[in-house]
Amino acid sequence: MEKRRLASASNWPGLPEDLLDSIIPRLVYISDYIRFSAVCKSWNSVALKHKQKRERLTNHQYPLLLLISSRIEGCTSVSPYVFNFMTKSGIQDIQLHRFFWYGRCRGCLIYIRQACYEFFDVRIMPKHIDDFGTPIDLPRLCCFRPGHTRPDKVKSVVLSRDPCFGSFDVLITSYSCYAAHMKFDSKNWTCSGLGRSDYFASLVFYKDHILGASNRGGVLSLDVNIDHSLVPKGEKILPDLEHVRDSSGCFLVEATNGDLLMVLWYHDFDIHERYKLYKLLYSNGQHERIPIANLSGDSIFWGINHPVSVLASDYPGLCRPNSIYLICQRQPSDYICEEFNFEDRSMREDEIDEPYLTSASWIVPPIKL
Amino acid sequence: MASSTSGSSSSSKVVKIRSSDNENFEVEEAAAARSETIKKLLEDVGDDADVIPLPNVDAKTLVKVMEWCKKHMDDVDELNKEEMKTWDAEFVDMDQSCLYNVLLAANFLNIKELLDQLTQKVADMIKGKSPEEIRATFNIKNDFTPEEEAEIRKQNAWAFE
Repeated sequence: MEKRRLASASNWPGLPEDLLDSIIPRLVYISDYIRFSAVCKSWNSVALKHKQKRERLTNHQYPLLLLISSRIEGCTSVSPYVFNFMTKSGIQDIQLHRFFWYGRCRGCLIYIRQACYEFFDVRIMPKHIDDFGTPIDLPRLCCFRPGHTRPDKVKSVVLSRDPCFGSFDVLITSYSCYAAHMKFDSKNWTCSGLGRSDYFASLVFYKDHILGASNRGGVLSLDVNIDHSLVPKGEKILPDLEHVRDSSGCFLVEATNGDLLMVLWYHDFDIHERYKLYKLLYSNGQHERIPIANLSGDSIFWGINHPVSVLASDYPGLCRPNSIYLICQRQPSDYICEEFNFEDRSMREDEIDEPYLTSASWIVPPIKL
Repeated sequence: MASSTSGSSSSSKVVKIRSSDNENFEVEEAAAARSETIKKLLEDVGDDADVIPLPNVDAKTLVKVMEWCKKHMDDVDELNKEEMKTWDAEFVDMDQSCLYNVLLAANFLNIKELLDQLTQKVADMIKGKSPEEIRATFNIKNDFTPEEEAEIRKQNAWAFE
């Protein structure tokens, strides 16, 4: 009774706009933001003013961790987790049938089914990670190397842009360093094996170019020829770093400020030496690779496939600025998330308690604004 | 009703403030000065101040806000940080009507740290809820037409599962 009486005293729809402005950024997950905007007209109009910023953030949205939750007769369920609390995110589990690889890129969930040893069916689920989304099924990819019957394993799938914004390119690489490329709407894949196989450690579409990096920090530009073959374009953009041994992992990632960063990771090195960080610059026809000390306030999440960068100050309490979050395998069935901070060079490890874990991918929550 | 809730130590300076419903309170200056608004008023009137009127804050709300200010009067050392966190969490755990009034008061009195805690609390109460549940939590009337609501839902159906 008392509560009822008091309740009439509040007027939440009429809350001053500056207060709503400071509440909205605290709704970290886009789903919460969208439900907030559907509460009443005044909240809706304030939420709309934040839309542009949210939209800018879509490629740099705080990711969820996608883990396999069950496997029943060829059907695998994956659940999105809020990784720092290891709690389920409230977004429904996703069913993947006969899947054999999954990962994310540009906000999409991509999963590959292997029809038989030589065929791959590639499905892209844009901006939706539940059944509601309309998946894009690409033409079947027949073996990376025609004529070879030995199966090849998919290493990564990279998209040139978010399919929601129009036509896009897809690039798939295999562990035996073959690549398949396709422009959306074309019927065929272009497959090539490249002599420069060591430049496949990480691939990225960056400003209309396909760039590949080697485990020693070398960078190569790739081109799709008129005859649909995928070839290295000209010389290496940047040679391998001198006096550096092969890293345990390497990736290229676009920072939230638009810079292209390269990260080399040495899993067995001292904490202080474990990561090497570079910014790639192109000016006056010259490519440069400049060592940098931190991530300019970004946090980077790295698991299977394409890494995600977010501006840490957009997500207070959820990630530390200038940190890398890496899912790695310590032993078979023993996975950890490693947080490395570039400022104080501290390292923290969180165990991931997950019985079915064979792979873990970061996934950006879906959004349609 | 008690006219003063501050059983403060004798040595520190005390200021008088008055709520919108004309109740007077005596509060330690250091606590009251957590409010930028009161601090500024105190500076403006100097030592001649008799009672500082706060026309936007009722007594019940003012008691609550001053309770927070007293607790946050001194700098917290590392040792007490955890204890303070617990206290803060309990403090913001109030019914929505009370939360609404304290939020507006903190805004008017310009107490940044308290505002941060309260807006975070509101966000936490929104998280993971459907629009219907949010409306029920905050006693908000749905003022969309059925067509408008259908349109919003259609655009982002996945968020309303």
